[in-house]
Amino acid sequence: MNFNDAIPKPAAGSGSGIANFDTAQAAPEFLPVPPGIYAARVLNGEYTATKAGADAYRMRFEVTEGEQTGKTLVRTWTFGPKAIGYTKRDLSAFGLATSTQLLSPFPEPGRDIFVRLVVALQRGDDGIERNDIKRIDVVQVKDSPATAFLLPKKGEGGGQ
Amino acid sequence: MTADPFTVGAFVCGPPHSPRALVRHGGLLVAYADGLIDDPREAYLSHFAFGPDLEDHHAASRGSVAGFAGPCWCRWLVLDIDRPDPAVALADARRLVVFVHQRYPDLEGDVPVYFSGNKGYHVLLELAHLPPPSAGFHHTAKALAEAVAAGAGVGIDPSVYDLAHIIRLPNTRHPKTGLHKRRLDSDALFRLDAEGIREHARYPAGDGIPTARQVPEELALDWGEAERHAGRTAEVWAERRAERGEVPDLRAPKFFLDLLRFGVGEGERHATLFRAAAWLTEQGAPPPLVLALLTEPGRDVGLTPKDVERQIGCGIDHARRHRAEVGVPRPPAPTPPATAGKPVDTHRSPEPPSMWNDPEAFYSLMTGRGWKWPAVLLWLNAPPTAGFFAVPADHRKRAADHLTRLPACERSEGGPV
Repeated sequence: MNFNDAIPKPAAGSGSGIANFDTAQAAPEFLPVPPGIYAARVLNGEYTATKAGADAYRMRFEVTEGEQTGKTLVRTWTFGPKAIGYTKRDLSAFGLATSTQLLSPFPEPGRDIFVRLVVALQRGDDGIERNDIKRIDVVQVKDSPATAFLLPKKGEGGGQ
Repeated sequence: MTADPFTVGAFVCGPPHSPRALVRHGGLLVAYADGLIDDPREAYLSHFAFGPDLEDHHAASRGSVAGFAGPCWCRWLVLDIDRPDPAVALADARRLVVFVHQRYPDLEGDVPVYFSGNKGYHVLLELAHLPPPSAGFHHTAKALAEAVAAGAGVGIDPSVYDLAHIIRLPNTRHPKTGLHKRRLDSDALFRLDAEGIREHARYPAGDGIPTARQVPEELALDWGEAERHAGRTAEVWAERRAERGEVPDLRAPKFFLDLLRFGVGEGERHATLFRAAAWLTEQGAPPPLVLALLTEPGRDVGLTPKDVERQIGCGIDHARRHRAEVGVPRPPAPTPPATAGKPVDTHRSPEPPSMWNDPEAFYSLMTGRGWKWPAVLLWLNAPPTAGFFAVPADHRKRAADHLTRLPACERSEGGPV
């Protein structure tokens, strides 16, 4: 066999470019969801920073039922002296009780966390409307059958 | 080294950018293939299986497998055919399977072929001769796969042989089409048309993965040849690196220039952007400059902003790690030219120290070399230790202030190169 002349894969070509512009559908304008109660699941949670540079933890939710299915909502918690107690209370409901957990991937792979969100609509000083999540209730935590194949974490007892 | 302890795989439940979890590789793959995992979400598993050292890396990297460089192994080598036209993809998959049957007659009827659920096919070549795990296993695997595909006259995606690459698991749903990754037996592959195969993939099934009944002798020979080829390639690269030594490159490599000029095809975009970022960093470019130079070309080839940022970041980290491992010092600070009035080499000649006292002259010099205003400014604002030259901080600041105040009409705007 010839090991020197691999055939390059054809470029994407026809699937992209200006040729598709005429027939393409315009994307909808971004709109916040109407205020109400939504069933959602946790997309991810991550340690991040606010615009001012302070530590923060951000969680993204995806609406799973109703007209707004697929829309994403975001809630950010901060760690200032006044906020930290509330942050700890809210995040503990997700099993996030230590700083190590806040720095680890969330939710754990193969785990789905379903929640109920109470969402409000607020208008900022700039006149732009934004959603604000007022309340989060964890409804169900569902593990994929694939989690049976997860390796035990280092430090956990037992083996395979 | 035997494959026994090489059972660790990286599993992704959800979109490909979701966190990686470590699993029993073979067990999970077979469970999905047998239809035992009842989960509608998309899911992926690393192409290669790893030893226990991946667990340490995963724990130390806060749940990431990126940057792992230990030995790996796999039982089924995936040859990924991906085409915009489903009929062309099917024709290529058939051609590849026919060639594999001809090349390895013992595997006839036992070559698993999967429809990916969108516009491609995964042809699995079982490494029935059980080659031992090694640090260069994935390079050998790539050499073998490319040689087999070239023999069939078919192009395959070379990126699936990256160490941390993940492959969609059987019977999982493709998020774009809602179709499943389904196995096709030989009969279905040659009897059904592209539309029939899409219909076939509407539902998952537990049809397992066939295994080779005999070990093809030719496969072991081809693997040996692929190993030698991959070794030779590695030696050539090592020689080139040794020849280059600590001297920065005089000319940019072809892949880098091609990326800027023509872009790069699907399947090589991530790797090329990574290499370009690593190469620039090796030349001493500070991270902001690397970002400024490569972000637009990365976006132009169709990568998402997040992917672009990630590939550039990983390339920079890789080059820095490599620099730290081999103990290569930073390029030395330039010395003033011996004689004034000498023609300026626009690539490498050092600037006279007086240049830094004259921001306008400095800017003219940089624009003369093709640098644009934003890139020059970014470079000046980069951390002082990361620069090409040991430029005093106050001089950099003065030049940056000058550029910031420069009227828009005098700026050389646009792409950085």
